[in-house]
Amino acid sequence: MTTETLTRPPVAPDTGGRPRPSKWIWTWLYAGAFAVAALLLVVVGYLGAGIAGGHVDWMELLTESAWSPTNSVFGGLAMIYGTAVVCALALVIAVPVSWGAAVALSEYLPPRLARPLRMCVELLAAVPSIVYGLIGIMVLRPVISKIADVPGGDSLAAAGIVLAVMITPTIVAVSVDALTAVPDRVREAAYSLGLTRREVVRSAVLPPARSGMRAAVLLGLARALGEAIAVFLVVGRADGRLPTSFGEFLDSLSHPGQTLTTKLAGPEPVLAGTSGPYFAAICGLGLVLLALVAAATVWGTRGRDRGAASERPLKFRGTARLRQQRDRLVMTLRLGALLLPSLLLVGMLALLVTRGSSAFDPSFWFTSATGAAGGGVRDQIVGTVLLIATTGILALPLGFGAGILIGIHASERTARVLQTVTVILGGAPTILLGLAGFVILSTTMGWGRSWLAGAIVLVPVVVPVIALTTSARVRSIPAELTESAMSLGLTRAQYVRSVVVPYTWPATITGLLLGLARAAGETAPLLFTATVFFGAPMVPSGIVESPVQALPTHIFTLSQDSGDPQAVTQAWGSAMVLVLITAVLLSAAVALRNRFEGERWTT
Amino acid sequence: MDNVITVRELRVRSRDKTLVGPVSFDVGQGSTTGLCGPSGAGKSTILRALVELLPNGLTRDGELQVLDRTIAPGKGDADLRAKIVLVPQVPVVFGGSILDNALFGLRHVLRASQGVLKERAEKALEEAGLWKEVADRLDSPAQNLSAGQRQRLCLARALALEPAGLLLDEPTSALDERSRDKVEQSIAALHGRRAVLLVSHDPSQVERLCDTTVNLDQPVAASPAAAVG
Amino acid sequence: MFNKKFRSAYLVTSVLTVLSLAGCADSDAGSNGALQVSGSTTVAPVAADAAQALKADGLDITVATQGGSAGGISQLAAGQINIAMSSKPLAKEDKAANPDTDFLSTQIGADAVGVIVTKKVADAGVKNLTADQVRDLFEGKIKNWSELGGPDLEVFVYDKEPGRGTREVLDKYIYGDEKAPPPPKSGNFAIVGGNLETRNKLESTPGAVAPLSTSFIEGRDKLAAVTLDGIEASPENIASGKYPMSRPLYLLTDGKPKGSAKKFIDYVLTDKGQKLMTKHGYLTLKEIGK
Repeated sequence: MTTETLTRPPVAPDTGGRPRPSKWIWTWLYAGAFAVAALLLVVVGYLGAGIAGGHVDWMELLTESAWSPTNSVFGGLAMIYGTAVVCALALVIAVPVSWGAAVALSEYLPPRLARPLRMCVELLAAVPSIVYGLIGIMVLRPVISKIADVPGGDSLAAAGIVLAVMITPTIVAVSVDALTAVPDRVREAAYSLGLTRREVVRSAVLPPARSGMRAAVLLGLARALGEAIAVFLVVGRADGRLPTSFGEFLDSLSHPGQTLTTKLAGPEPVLAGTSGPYFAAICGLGLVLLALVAAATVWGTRGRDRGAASERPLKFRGTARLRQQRDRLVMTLRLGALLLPSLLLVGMLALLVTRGSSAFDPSFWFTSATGAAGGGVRDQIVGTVLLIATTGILALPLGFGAGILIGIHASERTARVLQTVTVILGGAPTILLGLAGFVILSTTMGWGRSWLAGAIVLVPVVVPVIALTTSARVRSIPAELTESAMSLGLTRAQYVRSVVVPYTWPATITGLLLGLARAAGETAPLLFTATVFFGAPMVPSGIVESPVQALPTHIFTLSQDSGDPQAVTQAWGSAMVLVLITAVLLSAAVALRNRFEGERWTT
Repeated sequence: MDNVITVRELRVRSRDKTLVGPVSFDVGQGSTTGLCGPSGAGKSTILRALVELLPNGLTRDGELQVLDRTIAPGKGDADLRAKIVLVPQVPVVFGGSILDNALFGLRHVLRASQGVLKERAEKALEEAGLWKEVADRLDSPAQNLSAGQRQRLCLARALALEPAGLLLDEPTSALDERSRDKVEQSIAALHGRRAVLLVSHDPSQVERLCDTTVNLDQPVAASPAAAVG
Repeated sequence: MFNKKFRSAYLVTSVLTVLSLAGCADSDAGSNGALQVSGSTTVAPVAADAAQALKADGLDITVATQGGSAGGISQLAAGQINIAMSSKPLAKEDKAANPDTDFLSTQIGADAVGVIVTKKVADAGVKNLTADQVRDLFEGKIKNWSELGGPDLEVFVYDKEPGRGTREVLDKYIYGDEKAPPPPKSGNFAIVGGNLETRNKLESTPGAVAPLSTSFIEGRDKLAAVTLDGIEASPENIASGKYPMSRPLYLLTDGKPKGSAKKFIDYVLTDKGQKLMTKHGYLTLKEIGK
């Protein structure tokens, strides 16, 4: 009986080597991580070069509130204050609503209802920023004006609320992803102990989903910090306002202010030239913004190690009385939280449909523009699709790789550094990406205005979103799954390839969608690198000096200065087209994701 | 050479604190060795120490020999795990069909044609006593299997690797009596052909299945090992 | 193991670098020969319509709006575009910064900028403002319209963002060649961007005042333009130079326009081209008597 086992063909790869050693996995992962770091380095390098080109008085920049370039006063404190207030307000409003809505979507609604709703929420993330801004002007300003009894209504509060609305879809979508990744057996086990739904969610479902839901908030924060155009339209952009007492603080909420992002996204970076103290001060503001994102990220992820190492003990509050009532109350609250984004979606669609009705004329889609605001937007559609598709193709492998590396990296510290770098990149104002792209790709490399430059400039917008959603999902891989795979003799590379990638990719797709949806509405970086308002051929013929036209920049230019009423119609029609295109892309990808997510890996 | 696994003075530590051990035992060719002890004694931790799958922060020391190779602490790799296969307590089913699952480890370790792989997977399913139940639906999703079938599927995908040794971690703890009997039959059938190290808290099971028994008596209180075992 | 990982990652990075360098080397492979027009968002719609009309003649023209007037001028100086669109006269600084460029401005029309108030304020008696009054309004010194004989209503100032032609016209009117002071530290002061945004906010804010192209308030019954020092923004007054706040609109070239650039500019100056000015809300050369 001495062992067939040993006379069989050797299982261990001493001789022929393993099949699918998948060593390329490491190349891929590290390339992704390097790309994220390199992109951030480019942005920081651009800012650093600007700062080196002129003297920056950091003390003044950080402690002085007045900003007046004509008088050579460069104080950024009021903008830092504005940024902090606006983002804090946005998070305070958006996080509870989004988490509530996410739990309602994943735990309360039947899948038949939840799936379309979830897609609708993701669709909200795809509405171009400028539309949010216009809605802010139309709806929010009057409300603020009435409540606070101030004329106008351009204010920090309005900006905070607009941002809250804008980041809600992101937080909901990523949180839902984290919740659906919790295996059903966990719920089953908890229900079978006689727990109410609220208790099941609180004690069984939320703990494993927590890291993903936190990543969702980080993503939301990154978007809030980087968002320009919508805030632009409602914040008032008044410099130098800084409260000195609590009363003034409350007062400042209902009055115009300025944030770092709106300052950077305004005309000043262009007016400031490319060197000298003015430009250096602008670059200094950029660095301050990046530092703020970094601080927020570090603060937001602190304590995760502790949470992961030892499960937080559950608090027992004696015998809960009124369990059923409490359960019902929480359910009402959560479904109510879901109601808010739903109402928003309906309102927004109604607005888009009424104002952008020209989008329902097929000829609007299939004819090219005649002049400034006549004809259709065929060329803009093709240009947008080309830009988004190229960006997606470039960003997906990088973001996926970086995300997995963050998720599986053995050392917690490296993972945190990488994660912080990723969030900072996501929070970098896109105008900076545009300017850096302009200097490097268009000017230094001589591409001129090129569609490829535009796609590359959009990559840093998309990559962090993919990376963060991916890494959150990787972290939620059950330990048993990892152990089972490893104990079957897989190398780490093979484990990544055969377990991590298939387990993670539905979340990655969500990230890609959210990222592309955001990229699809981006204007600022494209204006500098890739698009023209009129006259580009439908499909570019090369790379160098091959601009395209795109919907967001078209909308932006039309909504600026034309006195022709046709321009406004065309702008709304284009916005509707942009939303519809994104909707089609989303539904295709979501359908794909749903099919595969049904095949959930269980333990 | 008779021993597949030789363990001498094995300890599992967290920094300077010894959590488990020292233990010494051998698992001989074709024999079934039981690893017994109360809950929290560190049985599962020892299994993981043998294949370098200890949770972060835990380290092993002491001597470990697999076949005639000495494995220094931290040097165990994927090739070791393909020779000494751990079957965890919770039967994890990967996405895909029953056949996919049976092939999961093998297709990462053995370079061979699809036909050869499939043949070995089928043989392993037979060895694990699952073949008759699933022969007609190898391509259906593995998620639909019952708990007992899943446990045997996990056994089969370990056997497909033709391992020198098997480490079974409480293979029947979550099963009803009938499923348990079936799994036990499968394990008993391995006797004489594979080196098996069986962790169980049930003395009667050990008595039914094992040639020799290692007792871990001293429970280790408040150790992270409890979290993994 | 770790070293290996690093090595391969390094390899990929260097491949990427080489690829991008290769892209660099490829860069002079040729441009598509289109006439490139860029600059002011004010002029862009007119230029786009003109380019459309010339398309039939086989002219290939792209119109972009990167960086506004200032961006257009600096790109023209850098030789990146053929024609810059500008909604402000060339400043001394522009010439000083680009000594090698032989800027040639061709005026194509003009834009009358008004100080716009809400109808309610105008009807209550604020129909005319002096330069000093306008300055005090925009510096936040006049806080209530009643100080100017209007209703008891708080003043809310919308100023245009820096770099906008409209803002420069206003600053010139109030301060002449002096520097404008920093914005007032009043809670009733905000910055706006495009003309549509400005009009929108003016209409929705009681007591608002802002500089805006007068064409944008035509047919708007909530807004009114005040006369400045008693002078109305009529084409005659602009032509004669009496009305203080108007800005010329220009197409700039480096040296005399040639070839397709000349064709383009000539077209804008024809009757058909000038009609485009009217269409987008500006004054034609004829209207201002040029």
